[in-house]
Amino acid sequence: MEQIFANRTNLTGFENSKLRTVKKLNSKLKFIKKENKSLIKFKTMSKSSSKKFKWSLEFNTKPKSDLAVPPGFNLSAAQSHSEVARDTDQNQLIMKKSWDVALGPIKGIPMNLLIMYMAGNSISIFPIMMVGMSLIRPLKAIFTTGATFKSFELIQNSIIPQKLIFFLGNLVNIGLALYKCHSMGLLPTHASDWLAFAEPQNRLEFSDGGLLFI
Amino acid sequence: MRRFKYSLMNIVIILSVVTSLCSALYEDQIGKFDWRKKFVGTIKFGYFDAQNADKSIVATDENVLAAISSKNGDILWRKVFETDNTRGEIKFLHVTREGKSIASQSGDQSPFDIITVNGNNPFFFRGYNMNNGNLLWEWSITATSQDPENSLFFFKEYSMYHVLPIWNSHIEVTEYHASTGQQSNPTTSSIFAAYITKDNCVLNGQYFACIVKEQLLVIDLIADQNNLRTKAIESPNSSIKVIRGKDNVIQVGKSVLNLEDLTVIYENKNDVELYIESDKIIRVVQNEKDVKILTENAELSSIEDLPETLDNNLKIMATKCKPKRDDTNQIACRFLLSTNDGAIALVQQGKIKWVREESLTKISAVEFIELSLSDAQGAIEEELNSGDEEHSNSDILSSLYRRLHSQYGMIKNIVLHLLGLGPPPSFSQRAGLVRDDFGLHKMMVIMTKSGKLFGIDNVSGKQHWVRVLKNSEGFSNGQGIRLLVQRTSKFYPLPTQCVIIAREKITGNGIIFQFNPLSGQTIDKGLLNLDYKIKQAALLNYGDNFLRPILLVDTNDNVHILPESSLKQADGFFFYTVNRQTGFLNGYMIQHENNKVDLLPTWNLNLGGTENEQKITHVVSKNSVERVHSQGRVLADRSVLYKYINPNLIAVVTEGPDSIHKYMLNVHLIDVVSGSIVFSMNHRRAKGPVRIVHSENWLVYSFYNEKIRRNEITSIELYEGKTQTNSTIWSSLNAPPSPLVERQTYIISSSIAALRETITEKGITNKHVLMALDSGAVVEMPWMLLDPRRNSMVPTEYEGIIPYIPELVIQHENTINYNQTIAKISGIYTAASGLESTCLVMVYGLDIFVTRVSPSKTFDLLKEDFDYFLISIVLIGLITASYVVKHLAAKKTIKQAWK
Repeated sequence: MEQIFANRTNLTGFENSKLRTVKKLNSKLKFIKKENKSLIKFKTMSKSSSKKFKWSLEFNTKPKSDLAVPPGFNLSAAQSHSEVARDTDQNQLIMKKSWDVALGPIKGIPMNLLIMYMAGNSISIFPIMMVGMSLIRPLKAIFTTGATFKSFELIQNSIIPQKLIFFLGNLVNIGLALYKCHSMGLLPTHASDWLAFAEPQNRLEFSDGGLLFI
Repeated sequence: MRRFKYSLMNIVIILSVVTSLCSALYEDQIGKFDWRKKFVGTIKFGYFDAQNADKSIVATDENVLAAISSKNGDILWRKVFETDNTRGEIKFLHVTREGKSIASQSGDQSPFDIITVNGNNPFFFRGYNMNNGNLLWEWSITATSQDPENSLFFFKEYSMYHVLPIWNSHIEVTEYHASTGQQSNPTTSSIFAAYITKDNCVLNGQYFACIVKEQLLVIDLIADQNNLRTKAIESPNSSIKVIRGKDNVIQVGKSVLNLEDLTVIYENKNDVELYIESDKIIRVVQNEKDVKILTENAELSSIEDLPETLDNNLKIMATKCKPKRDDTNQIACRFLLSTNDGAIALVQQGKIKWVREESLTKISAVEFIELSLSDAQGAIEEELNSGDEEHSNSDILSSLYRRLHSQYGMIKNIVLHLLGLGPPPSFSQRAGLVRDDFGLHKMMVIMTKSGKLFGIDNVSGKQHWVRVLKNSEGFSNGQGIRLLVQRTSKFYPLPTQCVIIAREKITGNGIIFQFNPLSGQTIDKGLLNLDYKIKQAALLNYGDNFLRPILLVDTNDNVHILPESSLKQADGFFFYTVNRQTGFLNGYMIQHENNKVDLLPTWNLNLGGTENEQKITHVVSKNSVERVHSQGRVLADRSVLYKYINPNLIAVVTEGPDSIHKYMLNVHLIDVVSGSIVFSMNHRRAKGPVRIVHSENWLVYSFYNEKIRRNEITSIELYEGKTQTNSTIWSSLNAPPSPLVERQTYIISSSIAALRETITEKGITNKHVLMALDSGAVVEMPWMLLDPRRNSMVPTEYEGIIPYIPELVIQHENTINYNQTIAKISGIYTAASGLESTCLVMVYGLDIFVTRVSPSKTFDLLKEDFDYFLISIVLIGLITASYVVKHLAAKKTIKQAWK
């Protein structure tokens, strides 16, 4: 009890300031972990371990060994020694996952091709719906690229290539849909499609006359 | 088998197309937007029903025999004979005067009241019943002597006499039994008379009277002997004419003679119109404004204030008199009068009971004029206009002020109107002549050949105004009186203006008459007698105050512009003349220099052939108000074939004999600005009558194929090609190279009386060709069927072309006048309405038929049977339901919140 007190009394001045920084760090870590928890479900870290912080001040811990544990040091938490290694692991996973997401549209192309082929070139409700969907989906995806890749942004590596690939894949999909539109004859690519907007020619000369009256 | 399959497929395709093109009327739509007026024509012979004069029997120059009710002028029955005068012309009409039917001698025939003789060798003799117009008997003779067209006829006691004078030789008289046509004597009696000449002889009843030198010779054609009597007359150069009403009275010089005893019964000193009614001479004395009908001692009838619409040159065609009931020894008479301009009037007791405007059977020009705006619409228009003018300083406040001001004006008008203090309604408002929402209500301005001008409502058929242009007639070369629209109703505060260009009857000088077509009132000086003869007239395109100036070229090639202030606008105008006789076409350009305009000859063309054997029969230009919406045609591969739309293109038809092919028919398409022949076609062994329509980039004409003896119809389309040389400007002087031509000929089972294309405001609606058949039907022929791109190749599904079949089937469902036959159609007029889908049609001939057609169905109009009730019920129901449900939902949430 005295020791504790001593410990406590030791925690003055310098110690106090250190504690404050530790607390700060802790809260930061907490925040990051919270986020990670919500976004990265595959994290191997167990829930309980996540609650064990590297630095925490426990006043009621009894020293298990002879050597006094430095105040504020949590022995059980010290076991998470491979934290750094694990972080790199996670990054790799995130990268992998982000590549998965980025390559998704390209992987969907053969399927799309098959569906388009099956739908045929006749203009009826289902092919039109299909073409519409296959046009709107990639467009939507392109516009929501930021949101899709937001969860991957915390890793150190840049995810710009993924985004680029994702964008390109969607472009390919749009191209496919447009080709489908073209083969269905829905694109105004011919002169005849603009005929209705052609203005009549202005005449320069005016004329009149007819059979003689005499 | 394969062939069979194809033909079966074709039939299926055609049936499907044709049924989809059907635009037949529903039964309940009959008469809803169409009307027909029947006419008879100008009277040649007229008689009252002898019994009680409640109808008159008339024979007219339109080859019509009709019975007209004396009560209201309605046609009781009408017989229309052939238009062709060699078969249809009515040469003789006899109506029984005794008041009972002419029973035949033997009594084996049914009694008849009317005898007519039609035609020119053969002559058709026909007997009719007066009450119902039924034909009772008919026989014909063919005269073998020379000049049978001089034949004359009279009827006497069950016998018809055929009198054939051979001028300067003898008279042949043949007697026939009236109802059977049997000759009473086997031989024709021949009376030697070398003195007879065409101009000095008349036949009245059985007497043939001639003036020979100073003698009047009268031959009794029935008497066996002593048939020649003579009487000396005062002057040898007297004229001789028949006095209507009795069979034995003529007028020689100024004396009226009874041919039975050769006594002078009256001296017609003032040379007035005479008529004989039961031995009484009836005179028609006419002054400027009033007309008196007199006997020697009494005035029978006097019409004061003769309406201006009646030519005051009245002729008595028939009378029926009976003693008045009050024993004053006076008689009351009913007169059937006809005027020079073709009207028929019935006069009784000094009053005109009715007038029939029979000049409408000879229409020379028609225009449909849009009605003017009502005052309320006009106020809005003015408000907008003033906004336009002050474009620079039109701020919100001032436009708000204008709006409030005009609304204040409207409210004031309404209040004043309710109190009965408002300004009197204008003529057009009184007559209900204000523009309707869809622009379907228009004024039909009709110019007739007799110089009578009508303003007729196209919805009700009511005559709103009539004007007589005295001493005016159409031009020679078959050019009728011209009616041109100088300013339409679109320029609101400015009045609509039309002009009539005619020829003075006596001098042959030009006449100009400017008028407001909505009210019929004259504009400026009104009738303008020019001091030169008009060679050709044209309408310029732009002028001051939106008034299109008229360009007149006189016989000395001087150019006159009316109004003269628009001289400048004529500069650079192209003008052409076509000489029918020589086949010469001349092109000119109008030059404006030193405040003077001149004709500058630019080109000339001879279409008459080397020996001038080809005569120009038609010159057809496009409708000047036509607008072409689609600039090209979409082909199966989705490329565009651009139309060759040359506004200066005319079609010239020439017809003539040919040494090898007997007949030749040529059609030339000529650009009148550059004088170039764009395309020519010739048809060997083909002859007219040609009917032709020229519109957009196509031409359709019908003709008679002499070789196969059938009617054919040819359609031609012109295309510029797959690219347009200039998409913004058309210049004939810098025209694209010769166009691609598509052509196709079809066989049509009926001969065509008139052709016309439908026209709409913006030209978006499909064009149909209206075909008037000789049978009196008007068929709407879709362009799809006349398309020259229909060829025998397998149809391409995209372009939607029907495979070629030579016969053009006339679909009876496409007859726009259903069972309302229009007799003797001479023309069709079409005008655009305010609705893009609808085209107003007027078919004229002996009858007038007005209707509307919508070639692409009424796509811009709700159907007549549209269920307004149901849709409003559903709408109201839905709105109330949504409000109720909203309320309920709110209640429920509150309840839930309390739980």
